[in-house]
Amino acid sequence: MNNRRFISILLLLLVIFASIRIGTEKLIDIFSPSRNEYFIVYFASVDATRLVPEYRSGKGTIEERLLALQNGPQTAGLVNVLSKGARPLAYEVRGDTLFVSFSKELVLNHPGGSAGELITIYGIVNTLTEIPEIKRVQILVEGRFIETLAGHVSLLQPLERDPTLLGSSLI
Amino acid sequence: MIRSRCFFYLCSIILILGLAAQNNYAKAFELFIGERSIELESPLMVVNGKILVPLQLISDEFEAITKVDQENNSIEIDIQNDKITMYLGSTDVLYNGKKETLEVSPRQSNDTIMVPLGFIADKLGVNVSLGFSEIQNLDSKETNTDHESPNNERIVYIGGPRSQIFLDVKEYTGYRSTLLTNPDRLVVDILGYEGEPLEETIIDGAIVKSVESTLLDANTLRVFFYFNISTGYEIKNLPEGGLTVDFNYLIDTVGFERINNKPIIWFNASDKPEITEIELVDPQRLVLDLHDSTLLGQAREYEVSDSVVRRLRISQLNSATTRIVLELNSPMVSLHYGFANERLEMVMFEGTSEMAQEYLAKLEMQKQESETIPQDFEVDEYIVSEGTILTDIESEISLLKGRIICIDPGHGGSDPGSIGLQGTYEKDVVLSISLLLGNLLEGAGAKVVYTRDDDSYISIFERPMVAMRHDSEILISIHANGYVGGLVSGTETLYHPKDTLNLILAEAIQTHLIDAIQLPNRGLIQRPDLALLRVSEIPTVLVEVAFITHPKEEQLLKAEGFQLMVAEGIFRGILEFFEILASER
Ligand SMILES: [Zn+2]
Repeated sequence: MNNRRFISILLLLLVIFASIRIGTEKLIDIFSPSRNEYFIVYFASVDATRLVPEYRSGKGTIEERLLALQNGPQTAGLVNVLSKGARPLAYEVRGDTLFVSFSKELVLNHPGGSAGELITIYGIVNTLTEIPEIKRVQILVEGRFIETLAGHVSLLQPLERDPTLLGSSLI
Repeated sequence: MIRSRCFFYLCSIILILGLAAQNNYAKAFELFIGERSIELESPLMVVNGKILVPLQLISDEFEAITKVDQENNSIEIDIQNDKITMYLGSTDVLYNGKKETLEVSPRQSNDTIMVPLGFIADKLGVNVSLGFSEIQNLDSKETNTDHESPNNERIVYIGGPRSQIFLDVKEYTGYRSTLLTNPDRLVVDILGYEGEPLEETIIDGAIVKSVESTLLDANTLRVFFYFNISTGYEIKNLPEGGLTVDFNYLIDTVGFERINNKPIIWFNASDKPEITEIELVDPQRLVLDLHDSTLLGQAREYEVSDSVVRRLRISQLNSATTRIVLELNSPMVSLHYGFANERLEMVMFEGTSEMAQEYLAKLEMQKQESETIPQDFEVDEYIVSEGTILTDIESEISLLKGRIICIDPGHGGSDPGSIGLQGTYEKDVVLSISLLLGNLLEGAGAKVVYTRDDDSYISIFERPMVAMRHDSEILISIHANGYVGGLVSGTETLYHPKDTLNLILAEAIQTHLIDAIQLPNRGLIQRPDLALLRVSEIPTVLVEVAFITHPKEEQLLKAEGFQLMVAEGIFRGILEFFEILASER
């Protein structure tokens, strides 16, 4: 992927700039704004065992992350975490909890199974808890609480990040 | 794949479990009846996940006539043509004169009578939910920007024990392949290919780092598999088009130990490779060649303090073979080889192979007729054969006599669970398996409690409650798995890590189930987030028997013979669990 090469180059630049920094303070100022122009979105491995990060350019706002989830992975071999046709509709941050509402396709088009459910829920939660201020995510459907997405995990309370599902990064 | 799972969204009563206690959320909710948001004068009450509302709200919102009789504690609710009678502090309820049971009883809080909203809403066919009427709408100007997929040709990482990669190329005439070094890579030329190069795919697995491709000429696609570790491979043409590339099994740690004085060589591997055994003398050694295997990390050797084994070495012999060498004081050969204790174990025999064969023959004679388990999982092989099961289990019956075991068939009623491509419902196949398992357990003298024994809906919070209310000793929840794409297959058992008994139960069941049905072993999975596992206070596991979204496994799940094999595998797992319990006492 071009992204990967770009990020490798970026990292290389980072190392170079970091070493130059000892002598000249100014260069880091030029560099630091662009350093935040990438954010992580999680998609699923084909075998449903882990979430794999994909790097996207942008500031990584809630909107950007939700749209990235909706549009799906750019890397072949990764699987969308949202059900087919599911759209994020609305969100609201309350304290450190993000309430995010999806269209009903999230439930209606879900393939079911605890493996599929795991991937969808934590694809959403882990992507959004990449934002430091967000510690928990409450998933809603059309603005309402739902008991579960596919019959195994309770969605009646906000969920915290599950780091055990994270696969290795692309860089 | 269109799902008819609107039930959750449209019909089910939405609960807040414990949320009301977290006041900052409770304030934020609104109660919706249908699409209308309801003004609440006094707060909601939530008991065991069920919403109770003031009786006044029922009269206001449903235009009901309500009457409270303080003498016999009864509450009468007349709504249109229906009459509901509830009793304070009791779960009994009369609906048009017919007795039913409430999940939570009406109660008095201060001076307000609180009644369960869910039961009433259900009877009226009204949707009740908690949520928000106003939250920030997403600026969805960029919605429906479908990411372009110019053609269907692509590289798909399937994974699994042999890190399988699928090259989805429809038309080609043949291929050639070779392993190269510097950097370590496999090159596959696909001949007679017409089209564009495939999009680069980053895999970053244990073996393959990435897959890239270029057009060598107008008719040849050259595909590079860049390796983290050089490894053997196997390419297969698929009749439907495309090729799969399987890489070696991965071998990790290796060790030797004695369990109950039985010598055991064990190793961790991504699956069970074939092993060739070679005995050498002067000096006495045993060589084990693991085929289609790659050792992770460097060659290594270990000193062993044992009367027979002095030293153990492991190394990569060539790209296809991992070799284990045991330096011995006296002869030792293998007896059995298979998965146990989450690793591959080779149980050894102290003596020559002739002595081992004699020993095995004697064992075989002692053992009465033993049943045969089909090794190949073609559907036709699973023919119901009554009377062949349980022959060697008779002696174990005493272990289960009088035990109370709760079986929970997943989903049910309005919740079909996962649905196969041919339209098979998870809720149906897991019910069949559960009833078969129940029969086996009852046959062995156990008392079986079902969370459901017909096609009815019961909430995931209620299921462990049913088990505990009936003093069940263990709870086995039976499910079929699902995932998009229809490629994923295999068996997994989920457990909560809060209690080691959960792990012991999960391990026993997974091992025996895999033995019985021979599907890919996806292992034991910790799932502290699953409601059923979290709420249950007795040893509990959730078994995902197979993927109903995988066409072949859907076929299997429907087959009665296969269902019986599953029930039998789980039954043996339960038996082993109680054996372990008994031996630890
Ligand atoms: Zn299920």
